[in-house]
Amino acid sequence: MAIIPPRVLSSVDVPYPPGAVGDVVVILTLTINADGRVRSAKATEANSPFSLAAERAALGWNFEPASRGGHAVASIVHFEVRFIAPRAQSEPNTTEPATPEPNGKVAPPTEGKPAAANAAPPPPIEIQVNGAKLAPAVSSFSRAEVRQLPGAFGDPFRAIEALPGVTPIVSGLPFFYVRGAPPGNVGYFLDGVRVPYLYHVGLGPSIVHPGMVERVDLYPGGYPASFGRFAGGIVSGETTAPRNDLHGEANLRLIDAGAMAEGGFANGRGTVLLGGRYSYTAALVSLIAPNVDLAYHDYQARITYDLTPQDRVTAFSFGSYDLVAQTKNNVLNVLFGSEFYRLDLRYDHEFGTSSTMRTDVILGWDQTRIGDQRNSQDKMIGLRTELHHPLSEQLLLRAGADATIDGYAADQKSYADPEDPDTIRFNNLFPPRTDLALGVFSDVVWKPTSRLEVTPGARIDLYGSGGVTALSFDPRISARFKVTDKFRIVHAYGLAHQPPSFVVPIPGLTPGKLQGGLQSSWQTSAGVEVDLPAETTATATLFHNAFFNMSDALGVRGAGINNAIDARSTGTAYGFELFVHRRLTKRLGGYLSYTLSRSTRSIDGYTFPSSFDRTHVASGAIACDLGRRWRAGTRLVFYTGVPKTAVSNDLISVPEAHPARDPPFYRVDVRLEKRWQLTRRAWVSFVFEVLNATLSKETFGSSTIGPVTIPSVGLEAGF
Amino acid sequence: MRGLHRFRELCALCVGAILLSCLPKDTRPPPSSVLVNVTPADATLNGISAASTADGWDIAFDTFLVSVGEISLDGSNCSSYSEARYLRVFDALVPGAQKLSESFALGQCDFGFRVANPADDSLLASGARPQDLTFMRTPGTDPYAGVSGISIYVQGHAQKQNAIKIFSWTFRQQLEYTECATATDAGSVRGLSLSQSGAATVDLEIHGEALFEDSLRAASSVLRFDPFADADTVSGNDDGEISLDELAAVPLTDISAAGNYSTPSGGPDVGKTLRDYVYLGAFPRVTRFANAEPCWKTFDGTP
Repeated sequence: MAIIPPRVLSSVDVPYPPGAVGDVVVILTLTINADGRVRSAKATEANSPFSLAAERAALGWNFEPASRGGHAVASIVHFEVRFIAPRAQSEPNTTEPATPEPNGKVAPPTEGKPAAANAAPPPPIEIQVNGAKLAPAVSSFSRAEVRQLPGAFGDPFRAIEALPGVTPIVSGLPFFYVRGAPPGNVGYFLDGVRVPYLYHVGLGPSIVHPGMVERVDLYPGGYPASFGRFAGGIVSGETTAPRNDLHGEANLRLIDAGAMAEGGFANGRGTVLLGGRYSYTAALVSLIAPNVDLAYHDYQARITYDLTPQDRVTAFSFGSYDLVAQTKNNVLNVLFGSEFYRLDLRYDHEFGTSSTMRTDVILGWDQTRIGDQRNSQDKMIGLRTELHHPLSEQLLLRAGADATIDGYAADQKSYADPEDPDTIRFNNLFPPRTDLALGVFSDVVWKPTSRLEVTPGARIDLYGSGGVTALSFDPRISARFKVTDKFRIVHAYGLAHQPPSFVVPIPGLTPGKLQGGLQSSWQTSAGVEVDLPAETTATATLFHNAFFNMSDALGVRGAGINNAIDARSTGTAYGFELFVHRRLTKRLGGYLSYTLSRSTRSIDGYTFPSSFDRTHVASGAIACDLGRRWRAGTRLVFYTGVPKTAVSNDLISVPEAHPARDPPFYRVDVRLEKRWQLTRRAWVSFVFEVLNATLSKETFGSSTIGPVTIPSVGLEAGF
Repeated sequence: MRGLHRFRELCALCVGAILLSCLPKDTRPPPSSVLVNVTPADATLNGISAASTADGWDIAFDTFLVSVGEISLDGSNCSSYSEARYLRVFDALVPGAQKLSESFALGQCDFGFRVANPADDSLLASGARPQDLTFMRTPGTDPYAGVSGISIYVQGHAQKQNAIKIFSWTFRQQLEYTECATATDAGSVRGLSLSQSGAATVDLEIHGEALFEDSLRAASSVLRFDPFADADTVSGNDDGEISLDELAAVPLTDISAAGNYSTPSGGPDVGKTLRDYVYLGAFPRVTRFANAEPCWKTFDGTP
């Protein structure tokens, strides 16, 4: 059952301590009673006189208590108090809107919350609600941070490319290699529901309104047993917890508009969320190319209802639509069309002290318009149940099962040469059939000591496609060892299997009959997490992935492998990742992400670099508060060029082990925001953002692409 | 219970939302089919008699492999529905028309095709064998192409009295033929006029004799073999086999007379040697569109 975090009701003004000097941030751990009073306040680090002043003041604050299932509950929150030294000229108060924070943290509105002494900007509040702790070896960005990430356009899913281990295919295109695994092997999930992709066509935004995405996690390897059937990384989006207070967000850009709103009904027992995005690019494009249609839109609708304080039912429906078409000589020709829809009917049940069980029935419909105006479709029904049950204070059992039936169908070409090898290959690769996948999974989060957390687990999957079956067993284990309070060692190992995959994820286009057998990867990583001064964290990770029987058409095509779509290869990826991070929501925040890696493929005894092996991938960003509610940020992205294509005439050839490379690429993204606080809760922002402000061009073989530059000017608002 | 009822209502709206959007239906009118056949010319099939050459040589082809296809139908007034973008390897010594491919389009369409190195999924016409495909896909080089396969392979012999010469030539360069035109009573008509539900047929012809024509102007060309024979006998190693390298030792200035073996006005540059002439001038004329010229011919890599 989701928890609604507490909200500040009283003034949280903390006077600047007399005689003190400097700007100081104090993090308080507050225990808030079910009646909203602060039972205790303790600074996470002693820093007198600031911490003492903050602790004393906090004991007098009042909150609207946290609630679970409509009932007030006690909670523990983290609260940031920022002391700003007196200055000759003070700035007017600035406030932050309600924005999600990472790791189960939710930041409620802070309006009406005076700052520390001397009218300094009010401190952001950061509330930690008891929730699922992130698994070891996972990278994550919250929506609040992504809003400040230049070039991400406020889109949590677009921030993935900033994380270590992620290698872009081409600048701006939201398809990635993750630790050497191709885009077709990266699984996308939203609230645990598998989706074919997360982004609209081409350079478009994500298919879910950013306002309802609480967090995006990237599991580059060794992921929890609940994730299966993908041999690469996992990108998992989590929507915000239901809230019964009326709130919403909207944005208006040159190319699209979006909005989401949520409120309660039935005296708070139910919530309704509606959201969506509509692109009017067609109107803009028609001014430049009258015969071209470009359209995308999406919708989200979520209804929750608490049957009892322990039982909640949820219906979550979302969908996405993309179309690129051309009208020529009065004949409409769809160049690419794609749509998918999901309906997740969910039942959550709490029992015992903190055990939960979730059961989902998932309906899905995917369709893609492919060559020669024919459609490929997938009608899906899935059943999933997952249990979280603490066996003791040291042992948390997580177990579940899922089953998915996919009915695939593809129109035959209306007009086609029946001997065309492309047609024959397509029909063989995507035959009409029914696919079945059954899986059971379980892991145990074991904390034998306060410093050690070990999560062993496994999943078993049975695959059936067009009469062909296969079985897989995927053991996984991860561990986090706290050497000191600020230094942790993290390990993650896992085996992952996946049925044959297409070049990139496209709705309704999944190779059938398990042709070529299951793909698999053995994923290993070891690293350290370090808490640095100034609330900066750093992770350093070594990884090694071994791939077997991979259908990585993109990765082998550049080496001149013929019929790359059918080719199977083995592969290796190893490297080093570094991530230094100070939250972008801070007055001055930023990150540095660097990956040094080598990714190879092997076919017929030849070993060669993957087509998108980039030795160095680095990005870094800085975002800062300029005062007067202005925020600015910039990001630098750099990566090594890909290996040059071996041959271009489709001949029998020998791949080169050490081919020359294309030139490296860099770009700079910028973001500028001005915010106005209209009322206690309502705000509006003007945002100017450019991806690739340097107009950099990218080189692939003999071709130069771009500059692919995406400017964005728009308004955002919330209440 | 009222709240639960509201929940059900809202769920129904969710399901309804799924049905709101759908990709557009296929509203295209029925196109015309375009069947493309390949037919060997008589001289390719039966050879060239001594009476047909200016210097009395009998010429015959023993092997004649052509990789052709990748049909294109385009143009501003053309709606292309389905292009057959594959290649088929033909044994040009098999008589009769054989299907190359079938495409579909509507409107006034430019017609184009390629003579190119076959891919591993290229089809085989009657008479062509899998080993022929492997042979034509085996990488090699010549002065006009980088590492590549073979687009046309010709092997044959010529006889004049007691003299016998053999030749075995590989043409690795790839050629694109575009803006093909048909000769009609009203003159040259570019492309195809394709109507709804129509059925058009296009013939591509293989003219082996083009390799021995002394002019790129069909009307004024004369078939000659002496320059080739002399390339082996006089300037070559006189082993009886005429190689392309031996043709490279024959300057066009030594054999040209009355304007033959020269670059025609507005035509392709035929270079300086007999090998240049055969490769750059004659080889592109082997494959022809409906026995009418011109198609615009472009070598790969040519601007």
